[in-house]
Amino acid sequence: MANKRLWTFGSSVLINDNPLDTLFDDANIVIAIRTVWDLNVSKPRHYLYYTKEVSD
Amino acid sequence: MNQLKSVSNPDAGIENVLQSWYDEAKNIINVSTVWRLGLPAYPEHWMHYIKADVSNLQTGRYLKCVSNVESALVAGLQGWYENAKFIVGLTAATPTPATDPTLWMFYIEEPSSSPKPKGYLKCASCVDTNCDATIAGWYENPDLKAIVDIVSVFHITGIGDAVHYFFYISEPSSNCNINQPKTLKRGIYTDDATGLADFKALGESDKKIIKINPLFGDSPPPFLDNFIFYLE
Repeated sequence: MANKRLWTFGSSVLINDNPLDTLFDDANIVIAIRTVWDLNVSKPRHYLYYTKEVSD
Repeated sequence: MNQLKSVSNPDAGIENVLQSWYDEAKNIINVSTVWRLGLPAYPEHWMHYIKADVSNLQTGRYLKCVSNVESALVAGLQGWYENAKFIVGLTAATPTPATDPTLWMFYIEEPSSSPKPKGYLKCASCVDTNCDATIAGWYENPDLKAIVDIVSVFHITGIGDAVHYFFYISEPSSNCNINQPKTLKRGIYTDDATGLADFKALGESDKKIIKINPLFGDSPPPFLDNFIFYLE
């Protein structure tokens, strides 16, 4: 069955290697990682934008 | 096995740690800057990178950064470019409140006598209000040789319009490799169910995404606005 490329947001992750690795394992191509300041928790929040392969 | 890692450091003293960041990185994905609130508030830089086997690491080059406030940016741009062998990325951040964003350029400086790339580093900017024609005009500039980065920032965090900075290499000739006549556009995709669906559709289209800049703006946390620049 052919795969198709799906674009998606990554979940937000805080400063922790484990979530980063978990997300990275799921990503086919990392498009970008962006960092914003989350006023609610007074911490930076990172967003991973990536593609992954999914079955039709 | 490649590992995705991140490192961060306050702006003060960052020159001392940049090289250790670089020495561990096989591939730099990008850099970001946030304004860490506190007393006093200070900018904090992040680098996200791929860590790999020691044998694959880059050596013999230097990762550095320079910064300037917006009001003094244009005058210093060419000096930035002349020192850079390769530009990793540009970032911007503002304290709360602020009237003059600070912008940083992260670059790799090589200890070599290689000829510098031809061209000039320039910057155009616009406020995110009725900016479609302006953004399209950036890409239609006949002197545009290459897009370096697009950076978005709020002048006053969470209030008012975002400001977008378009960094590019210009060359006073028509010998450019930009694949015109496509149009550079900006979309806003809020981080909610509707925005996610629209974003997914954009990704599955044949449009080429150039840059994604998330900012907390009119949509308060946990939702944010994703400013997406793409070619159509």
